[in-house]
Amino acid sequence: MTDFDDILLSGEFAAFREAYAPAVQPAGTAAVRETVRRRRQRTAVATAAAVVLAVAIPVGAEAALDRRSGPPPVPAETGAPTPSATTPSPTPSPTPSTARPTPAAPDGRISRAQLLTARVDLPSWPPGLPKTCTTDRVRLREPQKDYRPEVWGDLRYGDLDGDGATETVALVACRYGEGLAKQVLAFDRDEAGRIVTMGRIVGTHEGMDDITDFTVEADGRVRAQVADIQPCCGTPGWWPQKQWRTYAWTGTRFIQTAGPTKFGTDPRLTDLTLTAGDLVLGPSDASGRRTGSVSITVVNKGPVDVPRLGFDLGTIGEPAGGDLSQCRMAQMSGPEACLLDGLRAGGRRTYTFRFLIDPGRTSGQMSLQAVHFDSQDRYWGDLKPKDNSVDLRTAG
Amino acid sequence: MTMTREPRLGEPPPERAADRPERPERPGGIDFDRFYHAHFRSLTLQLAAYCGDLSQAQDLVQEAFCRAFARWSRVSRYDDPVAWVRRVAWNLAASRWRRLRTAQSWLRRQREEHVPGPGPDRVALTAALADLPTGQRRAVVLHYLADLSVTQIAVQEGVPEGTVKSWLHRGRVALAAQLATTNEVNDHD
Repeated sequence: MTDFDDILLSGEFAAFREAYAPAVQPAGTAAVRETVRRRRQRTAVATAAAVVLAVAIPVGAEAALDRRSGPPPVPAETGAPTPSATTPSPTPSPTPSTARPTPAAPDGRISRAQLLTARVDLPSWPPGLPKTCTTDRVRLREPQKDYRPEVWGDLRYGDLDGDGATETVALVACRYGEGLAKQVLAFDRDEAGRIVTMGRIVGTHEGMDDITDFTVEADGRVRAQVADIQPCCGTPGWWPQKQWRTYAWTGTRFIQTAGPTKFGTDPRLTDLTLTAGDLVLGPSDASGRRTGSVSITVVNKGPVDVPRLGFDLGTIGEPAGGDLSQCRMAQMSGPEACLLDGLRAGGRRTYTFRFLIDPGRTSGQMSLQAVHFDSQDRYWGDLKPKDNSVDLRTAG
Repeated sequence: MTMTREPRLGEPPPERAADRPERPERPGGIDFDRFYHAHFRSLTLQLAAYCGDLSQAQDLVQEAFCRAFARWSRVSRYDDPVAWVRRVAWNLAASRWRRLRTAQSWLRRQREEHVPGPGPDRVALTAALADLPTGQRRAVVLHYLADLSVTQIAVQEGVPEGTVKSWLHRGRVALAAQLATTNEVNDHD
């Protein structure tokens, strides 16, 4: 680095500050108070709404599927489309001109290069995305590090609407902070051969924050692997719960027709609680450090066994014996944790931990947390994280 | 031994006050409204530089203040409540699923006004920042926009000072190189 770099950057950041400062619009403290007040009230309402949704979606899906009137597949000009197993629909044609064969449906098999050069309209993104996550006349791009709609992974093909021609399915994403909003989209061609967006098959939304894979089935349905959370920036890759959900075209849009419709409480998690007595301090040694001893109790309220019980020792001090002498250190998001033997659901155990504590530490800086580790030394969240940690008080 | 940790779901970030001088007790705590207005703007600008989007930054900082308000009697007594709010906001930014659960529902109800997007000349800086690895980006933004010292950044990030120095050094070099290129390309504008 040179001084020149520093001067350049100071200038850039100063200009940034000046350019943006007038645009900042604090929502205000009244909004803060209102938000906090509302949050304290709303749990019951949210639960009721989720139940209604879970019931309503499958019923709607059944009804819509009956209308999925696949016209008999017509051979496309190139490549034989996979004929669907369904018999031709007996629905009478709305126009009586049955003598004339229907023209072949436009070929919607779109190559990656073709898709990336077209201008397409996209379904709306979730609220709160950068304004560069546009929807009108979008030129899709290969994934890169800016906040614009991109095509992720391979395209897949199938006859989604039973028109006898192939359509194209793509996972389109737009960056949002360090995560991605994603949509599985179907593309087709119109009579003039232009690429058009058929519709959104599924998109990420609150509580279903990731789409990790998708396939197009022989019958034209699309299966998507979705996850409740999108791991990024420190969230472990094993935390998301994943599900396969199936979607089908109704004639006007895609709806879910099979698979679970929501994520419940993660069945892999348990509820640990940690309680601790006072941290009893001994006399100072020559360097001013004192021994500290604390008795702690951990209860696993269930429902699952904890193969290894981990302790995040925070910044209390250097481990100096007691049950800490049994520690096997394992990596967590940033810190290392001390791993001890497991604790079955319903189990309770008391430990004594000893530390060497530097002078000047005060109670606010000494917290201790129990963490659920599995048999592969992977750490997990907790059903009630609040009672997993304590701030130690000192005595003596 | 230095042990640090990220704040985890549903809990406030740990206090990292190891190196701060002791301050007298503030028996009544500090006034939330004054605190909010004194720091909202600067915290938003820092986060906007970090996450590349002003309206998002604004929402996340608002969310962080909501969380601070919900436990204000405690947060107000911390040695450095601003660091607490900054840390919460940054963690929200770093974790999309948490953000969607909170900021998004907030957004739907609250945001009516239009927040102007970045001017083209400022996009270069945010784009260059976006190319930095997270640690470097955090260090550079905290240094240049929050005016934090190496020691303070080390405390906030929970890493040794040497790591912060290395982040800052590498971040500056990469950023300066990229901005120099961008400026050359844009000179004809």
